[in-house]
Amino acid sequence: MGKAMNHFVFDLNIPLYNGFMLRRVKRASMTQKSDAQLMSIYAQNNIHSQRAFNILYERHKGPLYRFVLKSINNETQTDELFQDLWFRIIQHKDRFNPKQTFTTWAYTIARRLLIDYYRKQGRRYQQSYDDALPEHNDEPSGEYTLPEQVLQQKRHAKALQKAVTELPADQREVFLLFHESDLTIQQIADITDQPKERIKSRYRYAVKKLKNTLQVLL
Amino acid sequence: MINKDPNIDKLYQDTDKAQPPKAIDDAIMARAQQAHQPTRLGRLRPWLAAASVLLAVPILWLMLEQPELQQARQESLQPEPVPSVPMSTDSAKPNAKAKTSADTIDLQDSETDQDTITVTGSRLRHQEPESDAAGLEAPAPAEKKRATAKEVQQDNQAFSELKTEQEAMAEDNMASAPASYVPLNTQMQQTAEAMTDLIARLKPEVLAETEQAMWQGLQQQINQQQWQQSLKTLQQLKQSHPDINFEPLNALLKNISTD
Repeated sequence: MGKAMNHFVFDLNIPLYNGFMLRRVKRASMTQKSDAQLMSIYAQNNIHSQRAFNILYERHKGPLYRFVLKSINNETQTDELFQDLWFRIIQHKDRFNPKQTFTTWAYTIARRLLIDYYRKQGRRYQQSYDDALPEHNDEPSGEYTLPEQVLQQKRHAKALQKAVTELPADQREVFLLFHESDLTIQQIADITDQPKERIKSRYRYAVKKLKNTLQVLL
Repeated sequence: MINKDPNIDKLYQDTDKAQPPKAIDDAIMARAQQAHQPTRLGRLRPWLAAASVLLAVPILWLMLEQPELQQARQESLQPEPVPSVPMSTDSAKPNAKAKTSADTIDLQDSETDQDTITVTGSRLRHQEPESDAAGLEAPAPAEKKRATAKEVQQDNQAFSELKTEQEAMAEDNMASAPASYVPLNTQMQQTAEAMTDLIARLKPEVLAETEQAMWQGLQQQINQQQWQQSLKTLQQLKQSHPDINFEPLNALLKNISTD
Protein backbone atom coordinates (compact mmCIF):
# COMPACT_ATOMS: atom_id res chain seq x y z
CA MET A 1 0.00 0.00 0.00
CA GLY A 2 2.74 2.37 1.08
CA LYS A 3 4.84 1.47 -1.92
CA ALA A 4 1.92 2.00 -4.27
CA MET A 5 1.22 5.39 -2.70
CA ASN A 6 4.82 6.46 -3.10
CA HIS A 7 4.76 5.30 -6.68
CA PHE A 8 1.58 7.29 -7.33
CA VAL A 9 3.05 10.45 -5.83
CA PHE A 10 6.22 9.96 -7.83
CA ASP A 11 4.16 9.52 -11.01
CA LEU A 12 2.35 12.77 -10.29
CA ASN A 13 5.61 14.59 -9.66
CA ILE A 14 7.18 13.61 -12.97
CA PRO A 15 5.03 15.83 -15.20
CA LEU A 16 5.35 18.72 -12.73
CA TYR A 17 9.09 18.32 -12.67
CA ASN A 18 9.21 18.04 -16.45
CA GLY A 19 7.16 21.20 -16.84
CA PHE A 20 9.42 23.08 -14.43
CA MET A 21 12.56 21.91 -16.25
CA LEU A 22 11.06 22.72 -19.61
CA ARG A 23 10.34 26.24 -18.45
CA ARG A 24 13.87 26.60 -17.14
CA VAL A 25 15.32 25.31 -20.39
CA LYS A 26 13.10 27.63 -22.38
CA ARG A 27 14.11 30.57 -20.19
CA ALA A 28 17.74 29.67 -20.56
CA SER A 29 17.40 29.13 -24.27
CA MET A 30 15.69 32.50 -24.63
CA THR A 31 18.65 34.29 -23.05
CA GLN A 32 20.99 32.41 -25.36
CA LYS A 33 19.20 33.60 -28.45
CA SER A 34 20.78 36.20 -30.68
CA ASP A 35 19.46 39.74 -30.91
CA ALA A 36 17.98 39.08 -34.32
CA GLN A 37 16.17 35.99 -33.03
CA LEU A 38 14.82 37.89 -30.04
CA MET A 39 13.66 40.70 -32.25
CA SER A 40 11.94 38.22 -34.54
CA ILE A 41 10.19 36.64 -31.57
CA TYR A 42 9.12 40.05 -30.38
CA ALA A 43 7.78 40.92 -33.82
CA GLN A 44 5.81 37.66 -33.93
CA ASN A 45 3.55 38.87 -31.09
CA ASN A 46 3.27 35.56 -29.33
CA ILE A 47 3.36 34.78 -25.61
CA HIS A 48 7.18 34.91 -25.55
CA SER A 49 7.34 38.33 -27.18
CA GLN A 50 7.44 40.38 -24.03
CA ARG A 51 10.18 38.23 -22.54
CA ALA A 52 12.19 38.45 -25.73
CA PHE A 53 11.91 42.21 -25.62
CA ASN A 54 12.94 42.31 -21.98
CA ILE A 55 16.12 40.37 -22.72
CA LEU A 56 16.88 42.51 -25.73
CA TYR A 57 16.31 45.68 -23.74
CA GLU A 58 18.49 44.53 -20.87
CA ARG A 59 21.29 43.70 -23.28
CA HIS A 60 21.36 46.99 -25.11
CA LYS A 61 19.90 49.62 -22.84
CA GLY A 62 23.22 50.51 -21.20
CA PRO A 63 25.41 50.93 -24.29
CA LEU A 64 22.64 52.72 -26.19
CA TYR A 65 21.94 55.04 -23.29
CA ARG A 66 25.61 55.90 -22.84
CA PHE A 67 26.06 56.36 -26.57
CA VAL A 68 23.29 58.96 -26.58
CA LEU A 69 24.41 60.53 -23.30
CA LYS A 70 28.04 60.91 -24.33
CA SER A 71 27.03 62.16 -27.75
CA ILE A 72 24.98 65.08 -26.48
CA ASN A 73 26.24 65.36 -22.89
CA ASN A 74 22.82 66.34 -21.57
CA GLU A 75 21.01 63.97 -19.24
CA THR A 76 17.48 65.33 -19.64
CA GLN A 77 17.68 65.31 -23.40
CA THR A 78 19.30 61.89 -23.29
CA ASP A 79 16.34 60.48 -21.39
CA GLU A 80 13.93 61.82 -23.99
CA LEU A 81 16.00 60.65 -26.93
CA PHE A 82 16.59 57.23 -25.41
CA GLN A 83 12.89 56.74 -24.78
CA ASP A 84 12.06 57.92 -28.26
CA LEU A 85 14.63 55.52 -29.66
CA TRP A 86 13.05 52.49 -27.99
CA PHE A 87 9.56 53.63 -28.87
CA ARG A 88 10.65 53.67 -32.47
CA ILE A 89 12.17 50.23 -32.18
CA ILE A 90 8.86 49.00 -30.78
CA GLN A 91 6.82 50.81 -33.38
CA HIS A 92 8.86 49.54 -36.32
CA LYS A 93 9.51 46.06 -35.03
CA ASP A 94 7.90 44.58 -38.11
CA ARG A 95 10.39 46.38 -40.32
CA PHE A 96 13.38 44.73 -38.70
CA ASN A 97 15.30 42.62 -41.16
CA PRO A 98 16.68 39.49 -39.45
CA LYS A 99 19.58 39.44 -41.91
CA GLN A 100 20.72 42.72 -40.43
CA THR A 101 22.16 42.82 -36.92
CA PHE A 102 20.00 44.40 -34.27
CA THR A 103 22.79 46.66 -33.10
CA THR A 104 23.31 48.10 -36.60
CA TRP A 105 19.58 48.76 -36.87
CA ALA A 106 19.22 50.25 -33.39
CA TYR A 107 22.29 52.47 -33.66
CA THR A 108 21.18 53.66 -37.08
CA ILE A 109 17.91 54.81 -35.52
CA ALA A 110 19.80 56.36 -32.62
CA ARG A 111 22.11 58.21 -34.98
CA ARG A 112 19.17 59.60 -36.96
CA LEU A 113 17.57 60.80 -33.78
CA LEU A 114 20.79 62.51 -32.80
CA ILE A 115 21.01 64.21 -36.19
CA ASP A 116 17.43 65.44 -35.73
CA TYR A 117 18.33 66.61 -32.27
CA TYR A 118 21.33 68.58 -33.53
CA ARG A 119 19.17 70.06 -36.28
CA LYS A 120 16.56 71.20 -33.78
CA GLN A 121 19.26 72.67 -31.60
CA GLY A 122 20.48 74.66 -34.57
CA ARG A 123 23.80 72.88 -34.52
CA ARG A 124 24.98 71.34 -37.69
CA TYR A 125 25.94 67.72 -37.36
CA GLN A 126 29.61 68.35 -37.80
CA GLN A 127 31.22 66.60 -40.66
CA SER A 128 34.82 65.77 -40.29
CA TYR A 129 36.92 68.71 -41.19
CA ASP A 130 39.99 66.52 -41.12
CA ASP A 131 38.67 64.12 -43.74
CA ALA A 132 40.42 66.11 -46.38
CA LEU A 133 43.71 65.58 -44.67
CA PRO A 134 45.89 62.77 -46.00
CA GLU A 135 45.38 59.59 -44.08
CA HIS A 136 48.37 58.39 -42.16
CA ASN A 137 48.53 54.85 -40.97
CA ASP A 138 50.69 55.46 -37.96
CA GLU A 139 49.33 53.49 -35.04
CA PRO A 140 48.89 55.45 -31.84
CA SER A 141 52.25 55.64 -30.17
CA GLY A 142 50.98 55.39 -26.57
CA GLU A 143 53.32 58.08 -25.30
CA TYR A 144 51.91 58.19 -21.78
CA THR A 145 51.67 55.50 -19.15
CA LEU A 146 48.56 54.88 -17.05
CA PRO A 147 48.96 55.29 -13.29
CA GLU A 148 48.33 52.12 -11.38
CA GLN A 149 46.52 53.56 -8.46
CA VAL A 150 42.77 53.22 -8.60
CA LEU A 151 42.11 56.80 -7.57
CA GLN A 152 44.28 58.07 -10.30
CA GLN A 153 42.57 55.75 -12.73
CA LYS A 154 39.23 57.24 -11.82
CA ARG A 155 40.61 60.71 -12.31
CA HIS A 156 41.94 59.70 -15.68
CA ALA A 157 38.63 58.10 -16.62
CA LYS A 158 36.81 61.32 -15.82
CA ALA A 159 39.30 63.25 -17.86
CA LEU A 160 38.80 60.86 -20.74
CA GLN A 161 35.04 61.23 -20.49
CA LYS A 162 35.41 64.99 -20.67
CA ALA A 163 37.82 64.69 -23.57
CA VAL A 164 35.40 62.45 -25.46
CA THR A 165 32.63 65.05 -25.19
CA GLU A 166 35.01 67.61 -26.66
CA LEU A 167 35.74 65.55 -29.75
CA PRO A 168 34.21 66.59 -33.09
CA ALA A 169 30.83 64.96 -33.48
CA ASP A 170 31.73 62.49 -36.22
CA GLN A 171 34.92 61.37 -34.46
CA ARG A 172 33.08 61.10 -31.15
CA GLU A 173 30.42 59.04 -32.83
CA VAL A 174 32.94 56.57 -34.24
CA PHE A 175 34.83 56.41 -30.97
CA LEU A 176 31.68 55.74 -28.95
CA LEU A 177 30.35 53.15 -31.35
CA PHE A 178 33.70 51.40 -31.32
CA HIS A 179 34.42 51.47 -27.58
CA GLU A 180 31.00 51.78 -25.98
CA SER A 181 28.95 49.57 -28.21
CA ASP A 182 31.67 47.16 -29.27
CA LEU A 183 30.72 47.44 -32.92
CA THR A 184 33.07 46.49 -35.71
CA ILE A 185 34.42 49.02 -38.16
CA GLN A 186 32.21 47.50 -40.83
CA GLN A 187 29.11 47.89 -38.67
CA ILE A 188 30.03 51.50 -37.90
CA ALA A 189 30.49 52.09 -41.63
CA ASP A 190 27.04 50.63 -42.25
CA ILE A 191 25.44 52.75 -39.54
CA THR A 192 27.05 55.98 -40.59
CA ASP A 193 26.81 55.17 -44.28
CA GLN A 194 30.48 56.01 -44.76
CA PRO A 195 33.38 54.08 -46.29
CA LYS A 196 35.32 51.86 -43.95
CA GLU A 197 38.55 53.74 -44.53
CA ARG A 198 36.99 57.00 -43.48
CA ILE A 199 35.75 55.40 -40.28
CA LYS A 200 39.25 54.11 -39.54
CA SER A 201 40.65 57.53 -40.20
CA ARG A 202 38.14 59.18 -37.89
CA TYR A 203 38.92 56.73 -35.16
CA ARG A 204 42.65 57.34 -35.40
CA TYR A 205 42.14 61.08 -35.27
CA ALA A 206 39.84 60.68 -32.30
CA VAL A 207 42.37 58.60 -30.38
CA LYS A 208 45.15 61.00 -31.22
CA LYS A 209 43.12 63.96 -29.99
CA LEU A 210 42.13 62.14 -26.84
CA LYS A 211 45.73 61.34 -26.03
CA ASN A 212 46.78 64.91 -26.62
CA THR A 213 43.94 66.24 -24.44
CA LEU A 214 44.71 63.75 -21.71
CA GLN A 215 48.35 64.75 -21.71
CA VAL A 216 47.30 68.35 -21.14
CA LEU A 217 44.71 67.49 -18.50
CA LEU A 218 46.72 65.05 -16.50
CA MET B 1 42.03 45.92 -39.70
CA ILE B 2 42.12 48.34 -36.86
CA ASN B 3 42.29 47.48 -33.19
CA LYS B 4 41.12 49.39 -30.18
CA ASP B 5 43.80 51.40 -28.47
CA PRO B 6 44.36 49.26 -25.33
CA ASN B 7 45.19 52.13 -23.00
CA ILE B 8 42.29 54.26 -24.09
CA ASP B 9 39.97 51.27 -24.00
CA LYS B 10 41.04 50.29 -20.50
CA LEU B 11 40.60 53.86 -19.34
CA TYR B 12 37.26 54.13 -21.08
CA GLN B 13 35.95 50.99 -19.39
CA ASP B 14 36.66 52.66 -16.04
CA THR B 15 34.37 55.57 -16.87
CA ASP B 16 30.96 55.89 -15.33
CA LYS B 17 28.57 53.25 -16.63
CA ALA B 18 25.44 55.30 -16.70
CA GLN B 19 22.09 53.51 -16.98
CA PRO B 20 18.68 54.87 -17.96
CA PRO B 21 16.41 55.84 -15.07
CA LYS B 22 13.91 53.28 -13.79
CA ALA B 23 10.97 55.41 -14.90
CA ILE B 24 12.15 55.26 -18.49
CA ASP B 25 12.65 51.50 -18.25
CA ASP B 26 9.07 51.14 -17.06
CA ALA B 27 7.71 53.43 -19.76
CA ILE B 28 9.50 51.49 -22.48
CA MET B 29 8.34 48.14 -21.11
CA ALA B 30 4.78 49.40 -20.90
CA ARG B 31 4.94 50.59 -24.48
CA ALA B 32 6.36 47.27 -25.60
CA GLN B 33 3.48 45.48 -23.90
CA GLN B 34 0.93 47.87 -25.37
CA ALA B 35 2.29 47.16 -28.82
CA HIS B 36 0.87 43.65 -28.55
CA GLN B 37 -2.68 44.81 -27.93
CA PRO B 38 -3.64 45.97 -31.41
CA THR B 39 -1.67 43.21 -33.09
CA ARG B 40 -3.75 40.59 -31.34
CA LEU B 41 -6.55 41.94 -33.44
CA GLY B 42 -4.14 41.82 -36.32
CA ARG B 43 -4.48 38.06 -36.47
CA LEU B 44 -8.17 38.52 -37.03
CA ARG B 45 -7.56 41.19 -39.61
CA PRO B 46 -8.26 39.00 -42.66
CA TRP B 47 -11.45 37.74 -41.06
CA LEU B 48 -12.48 41.26 -40.11
CA ALA B 49 -11.83 42.43 -43.65
CA ALA B 50 -13.88 39.58 -45.07
CA ALA B 51 -16.70 40.28 -42.63
CA SER B 52 -16.70 43.97 -43.47
CA VAL B 53 -16.86 43.15 -47.18
CA LEU B 54 -19.75 40.78 -46.56
CA LEU B 55 -21.57 43.52 -44.68
CA ALA B 56 -20.68 46.31 -47.05
CA VAL B 57 -21.73 44.58 -50.29
CA PRO B 58 -25.42 44.14 -49.39
CA ILE B 59 -25.53 47.66 -47.97
CA LEU B 60 -24.09 49.05 -51.19
CA TRP B 61 -26.49 46.98 -53.19
CA LEU B 62 -29.41 48.30 -51.16
CA MET B 63 -28.14 51.83 -51.55
CA LEU B 64 -27.94 51.40 -55.29
CA GLU B 65 -31.42 49.95 -55.35
CA GLN B 66 -32.84 52.58 -53.07
CA PRO B 67 -33.19 55.48 -55.56
CA GLU B 68 -35.32 53.32 -57.82
CA LEU B 69 -37.49 52.32 -54.93
CA GLN B 70 -37.80 55.91 -53.84
CA GLN B 71 -38.63 57.01 -57.35
CA ALA B 72 -41.28 54.33 -57.63
CA ARG B 73 -42.71 55.37 -54.31
CA GLN B 74 -42.74 59.01 -55.30
CA GLU B 75 -44.47 58.17 -58.53
CA SER B 76 -47.10 56.16 -56.73
CA LEU B 77 -47.60 58.88 -54.15
CA GLN B 78 -47.84 61.75 -56.61
CA PRO B 79 -51.24 63.43 -56.48
CA GLU B 80 -53.57 63.14 -59.41
CA PRO B 81 -53.44 66.17 -61.70
CA VAL B 82 -55.71 68.91 -60.40
CA PRO B 83 -58.38 69.82 -62.95
CA SER B 84 -58.12 73.29 -64.39
CA VAL B 85 -61.77 73.99 -63.63
CA PRO B 86 -62.08 74.78 -59.94
CA MET B 87 -64.57 72.81 -57.91
CA SER B 88 -67.61 74.49 -56.49
CA THR B 89 -67.04 75.72 -52.97
CA ASP B 90 -70.26 74.12 -51.84
CA SER B 91 -69.43 70.71 -53.17
CA ALA B 92 -66.03 70.72 -51.46
CA LYS B 93 -65.79 69.86 -47.82
CA PRO B 94 -65.77 73.13 -45.94
CA ASN B 95 -63.28 72.11 -43.26
CA ALA B 96 -60.75 70.77 -45.77
CA LYS B 97 -57.35 72.33 -45.34
CA ALA B 98 -55.16 73.30 -48.27
CA LYS B 99 -53.29 70.03 -48.55
CA THR B 100 -52.59 68.46 -51.90
CA SER B 101 -50.47 65.41 -51.23
CA ALA B 102 -52.02 62.00 -51.53
CA ASP B 103 -50.96 61.02 -48.05
CA THR B 104 -52.76 63.84 -46.37
CA ILE B 105 -55.84 63.34 -48.46
CA ASP B 106 -55.94 59.67 -47.55
CA LEU B 107 -55.45 60.49 -43.93
CA GLN B 108 -58.15 63.08 -44.01
CA ASP B 109 -60.55 60.66 -45.61
CA SER B 110 -59.85 58.03 -43.06
CA GLU B 111 -60.23 60.56 -40.29
CA THR B 112 -63.53 61.77 -41.60
CA ASP B 113 -64.68 58.18 -41.93
CA GLN B 114 -63.81 57.62 -38.33
CA ASP B 115 -65.58 60.78 -37.42
CA THR B 116 -68.74 59.56 -39.00
CA ILE B 117 -68.54 56.37 -37.00
CA THR B 118 -67.44 57.61 -33.61
CA VAL B 119 -68.88 61.04 -33.66
CA THR B 120 -70.43 62.29 -30.44
CA GLY B 121 -72.93 64.99 -29.82
CA SER B 122 -70.40 67.50 -28.62
CA ARG B 123 -68.23 66.87 -31.67
CA LEU B 124 -71.16 67.43 -33.97
CA ARG B 125 -72.03 70.67 -32.27
CA HIS B 126 -68.48 71.80 -32.70
CA GLN B 127 -68.68 71.03 -36.39
CA GLU B 128 -72.08 72.51 -36.96
CA PRO B 129 -71.11 76.05 -37.90
CA GLU B 130 -68.56 74.90 -40.46
CA SER B 131 -70.17 71.71 -41.70
CA ASP B 132 -73.31 73.04 -43.25
CA ALA B 133 -72.93 70.90 -46.31
CA ALA B 134 -70.76 68.00 -45.23
CA GLY B 135 -72.41 67.49 -41.89
CA LEU B 136 -75.87 67.07 -43.33
CA GLU B 137 -75.65 63.32 -43.22
CA ALA B 138 -74.43 63.22 -39.65
CA PRO B 139 -76.57 61.26 -37.25
CA ALA B 140 -78.72 63.14 -34.83
CA PRO B 141 -76.95 63.88 -31.56
CA ALA B 142 -77.87 62.14 -28.37
CA GLU B 143 -79.30 65.27 -26.90
CA LYS B 144 -81.64 65.70 -29.81
CA LYS B 145 -82.82 62.14 -29.49
CA ARG B 146 -84.03 63.02 -26.10
CA ALA B 147 -85.89 66.06 -27.45
CA THR B 148 -89.54 65.98 -28.22
CA ALA B 149 -90.78 64.49 -31.49
CA LYS B 150 -92.07 67.87 -32.58
CA GLU B 151 -88.69 69.45 -32.34
CA VAL B 152 -87.21 66.61 -34.28
CA GLN B 153 -89.72 67.00 -37.04
CA GLN B 154 -89.01 70.72 -37.23
CA ASP B 155 -85.32 70.07 -37.43
CA ASN B 156 -85.76 67.53 -40.16
CA GLN B 157 -87.83 69.91 -42.18
CA ALA B 158 -85.29 72.65 -41.77
CA PHE B 159 -82.51 70.31 -42.79
CA SER B 160 -84.34 69.06 -45.83
CA GLU B 161 -85.08 72.60 -46.96
CA LEU B 162 -81.49 73.61 -46.49
CA LYS B 163 -80.34 70.57 -48.36
CA THR B 164 -82.49 71.26 -51.38
CA GLU B 165 -81.33 74.88 -51.45
CA GLN B 166 -77.69 73.84 -51.33
CA GLU B 167 -78.12 71.24 -54.05
CA ALA B 168 -79.67 73.85 -56.28
CA MET B 169 -76.82 76.25 -55.59
CA ALA B 170 -74.25 73.57 -56.28
CA GLU B 171 -75.84 72.76 -59.62
CA ASP B 172 -75.79 76.43 -60.53
CA ASN B 173 -72.16 76.72 -59.64
CA MET B 174 -71.17 73.62 -61.54
CA ALA B 175 -72.93 74.93 -64.56
CA SER B 176 -71.52 78.42 -64.31
CA ALA B 177 -67.92 77.61 -63.37
CA PRO B 178 -66.71 76.15 -66.70
CA ALA B 179 -68.36 79.00 -68.50
CA SER B 180 -66.13 81.46 -66.70
CA TYR B 181 -62.82 79.57 -66.79
CA VAL B 182 -62.75 77.41 -69.89
CA PRO B 183 -62.91 80.21 -72.42
CA LEU B 184 -59.98 81.93 -70.73
CA ASN B 185 -57.81 78.85 -71.21
CA THR B 186 -58.88 78.37 -74.77
CA GLN B 187 -58.34 82.06 -75.42
CA MET B 188 -54.79 81.81 -74.11
CA GLN B 189 -54.12 78.75 -76.21
CA GLN B 190 -55.49 80.47 -79.27
CA THR B 191 -53.34 83.54 -78.63
CA ALA B 192 -50.28 81.37 -78.14
CA GLU B 193 -50.97 79.59 -81.41
CA ALA B 194 -51.46 82.90 -83.16
CA MET B 195 -48.16 84.11 -81.77
CA THR B 196 -46.44 80.92 -82.92
CA ASP B 197 -47.77 81.50 -86.45
CA LEU B 198 -46.61 85.07 -86.27
CA ILE B 199 -43.12 84.02 -85.14
CA ALA B 200 -42.95 81.50 -87.98
CA ARG B 201 -43.78 84.27 -90.45
CA LEU B 202 -41.45 86.87 -88.95
CA LYS B 203 -38.48 84.59 -88.41
CA PRO B 204 -35.80 85.10 -91.09
CA GLU B 205 -34.51 82.04 -92.86
CA VAL B 206 -30.85 82.76 -92.32
CA LEU B 207 -29.86 83.30 -88.72
CA ALA B 208 -26.75 83.37 -86.63
CA GLU B 209 -26.47 80.84 -83.79
CA THR B 210 -27.23 83.37 -81.06
CA GLU B 211 -30.19 84.72 -83.01
CA GLN B 212 -31.46 81.20 -83.59
CA ALA B 213 -31.24 80.56 -79.88
CA MET B 214 -33.15 83.75 -79.12
CA TRP B 215 -35.96 82.84 -81.53
CA GLN B 216 -36.20 79.36 -80.08
CA GLY B 217 -36.19 80.79 -76.58
CA LEU B 218 -39.07 83.11 -77.47
CA GLN B 219 -41.03 80.22 -78.91
CA GLN B 220 -40.48 78.12 -75.78
CA GLN B 221 -41.41 80.96 -73.46
CA ILE B 222 -44.64 81.51 -75.37
CA ASN B 223 -45.40 77.81 -75.27
CA GLN B 224 -44.77 77.78 -71.53
CA GLN B 225 -46.86 80.98 -71.18
CA GLN B 226 -43.99 82.95 -69.65
CA TRP B 227 -45.22 86.25 -70.96
CA GLN B 228 -42.91 88.66 -69.13
CA GLN B 229 -39.81 86.78 -70.23
CA SER B 230 -41.21 86.59 -73.75
CA LEU B 231 -41.49 90.37 -73.80
CA LYS B 232 -37.88 90.71 -72.74
CA THR B 233 -36.71 88.28 -75.40
CA LEU B 234 -38.78 90.16 -77.93
CA GLN B 235 -37.03 93.39 -76.97
CA GLN B 236 -33.69 91.72 -77.59
CA LEU B 237 -34.88 90.43 -80.94
CA LYS B 238 -36.03 93.92 -81.87
CA GLN B 239 -32.54 95.18 -81.28
CA SER B 240 -30.94 92.44 -83.36
CA HIS B 241 -33.53 92.72 -86.18
CA PRO B 242 -34.48 96.41 -86.51
CA ASP B 243 -35.87 95.78 -89.99
CA ILE B 244 -38.56 93.33 -88.82
CA ASN B 245 -41.90 94.64 -87.60
CA PHE B 246 -42.54 93.00 -84.25
CA GLU B 247 -45.46 95.25 -83.31
CA PRO B 248 -48.29 92.73 -83.81
CA LEU B 249 -46.45 90.17 -81.71
CA ASN B 250 -45.61 92.77 -79.11
CA ALA B 251 -49.21 93.89 -78.89
CA LEU B 252 -50.43 90.33 -78.46
CA LEU B 253 -47.88 89.64 -75.76
CA LYS B 254 -48.74 92.83 -73.91
CA ASN B 255 -52.42 92.08 -74.02
CA ILE B 256 -52.02 88.56 -72.77
CA SER B 257 -49.53 89.50 -70.07
CA THR B 258 -51.86 92.22 -68.71
CA ASP B 259 -54.75 89.70 -68.66
